[in-house]
Amino acid sequence: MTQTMIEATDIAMALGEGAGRVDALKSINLSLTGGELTLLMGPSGSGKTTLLSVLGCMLSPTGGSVQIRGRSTTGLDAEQLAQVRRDNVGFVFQSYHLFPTLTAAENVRLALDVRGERSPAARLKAEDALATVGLSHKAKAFPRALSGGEQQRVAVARAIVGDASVILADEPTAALDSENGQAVMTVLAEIAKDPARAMFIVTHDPRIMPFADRILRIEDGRIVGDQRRSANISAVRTLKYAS
Amino acid sequence: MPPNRANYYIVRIAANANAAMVRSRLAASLSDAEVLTSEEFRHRTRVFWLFDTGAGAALLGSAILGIIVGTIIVAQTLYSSTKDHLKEFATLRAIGSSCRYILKVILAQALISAVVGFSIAAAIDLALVKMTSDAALPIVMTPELTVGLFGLTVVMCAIAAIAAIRVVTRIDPVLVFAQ
Repeated sequence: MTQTMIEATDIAMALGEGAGRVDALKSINLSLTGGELTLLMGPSGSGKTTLLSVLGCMLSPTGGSVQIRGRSTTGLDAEQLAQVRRDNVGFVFQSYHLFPTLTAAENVRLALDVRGERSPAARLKAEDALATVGLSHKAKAFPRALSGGEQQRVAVARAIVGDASVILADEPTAALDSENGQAVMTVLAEIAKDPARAMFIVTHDPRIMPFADRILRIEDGRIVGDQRRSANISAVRTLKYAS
Repeated sequence: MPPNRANYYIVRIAANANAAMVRSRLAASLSDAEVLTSEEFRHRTRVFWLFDTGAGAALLGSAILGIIVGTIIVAQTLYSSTKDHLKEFATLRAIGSSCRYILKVILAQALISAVVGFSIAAAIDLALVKMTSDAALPIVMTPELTVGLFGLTVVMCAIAAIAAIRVVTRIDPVLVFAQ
């Protein structure tokens, strides 16, 4: 049975004030369930990243509410929102945002360190996460010694190491070539099969559409399309990416 | 020796003599002279140089100036370093680190600055202590003074970290999405 990880109800987000005010999100209703990889696509300025920020508890919406695993985030202050992120959300960013002075394993462990997990068990969890993304052999490598695709896979390992129930990715393949993009998406799609996790990816990249279980389209701050893909299409998604 | 040809006489007493008693007897027999024990003389000299000649004020002023300049330099270094690494701090914030965690990171940087700075200064000071050990006015560095100065350095660096802390605790995690 699938579980709802994020429930966004009637989300509105206004940015700026007075004449410069922009309604970035308008009446967004959305729920993300475990075991599902959801893509959010839309043109630049349509509100994709703003929606990702709201779902990831980085921005508080000006209207509506967000619930993460049944817990409302309305009215929480910055510290409480940070705790919600720490306990429930894993992020993957377009430009990786790895720490250049830390090794791959240390970058992954950082996500546990901020949660106060510094035991040998934390070290093992980080090793497991790196194994999941196929980078056990690069554990001691610094980011500068890794390719873009490998850096992004380390970022994915950092996002999953804390058993986040929601993985939010912002253009994870935008800075990668086809081969590396496919490698990253294959890893993300595999992780998304876990029914205890919902995966939400903001993208411009049509090559990753075959990996999606569900595709949302956003324009001018409104969801204008919500399409679920069949099991058959999912089965051939890797081939489609290559083409 | 005629009285107008001498400023001070040093009186050495036997090891088992009572200094206070000798002092009282000398004071009673020398009405025009002031008789002081070593400790009293040391205290009077220190007070004279520190407070009556202006040298003490200059010394104290230099020390205060050193503390202020040192604090400002460390503050500027930490502030610049923090400004240069805003994306990293935003990433920490985005992945859920608390303000307290980031505060610890900045304070750790300040402590590293204190340890490195103090180590360099201590090495120079040690050399000066050795160089002046046979001089008429040797530089003295006691363990207590060393510990006290290290404590002062740590406090200076912690105060210097305030500006950097103000920057990072107000950081917006959404910065991670900026290209």
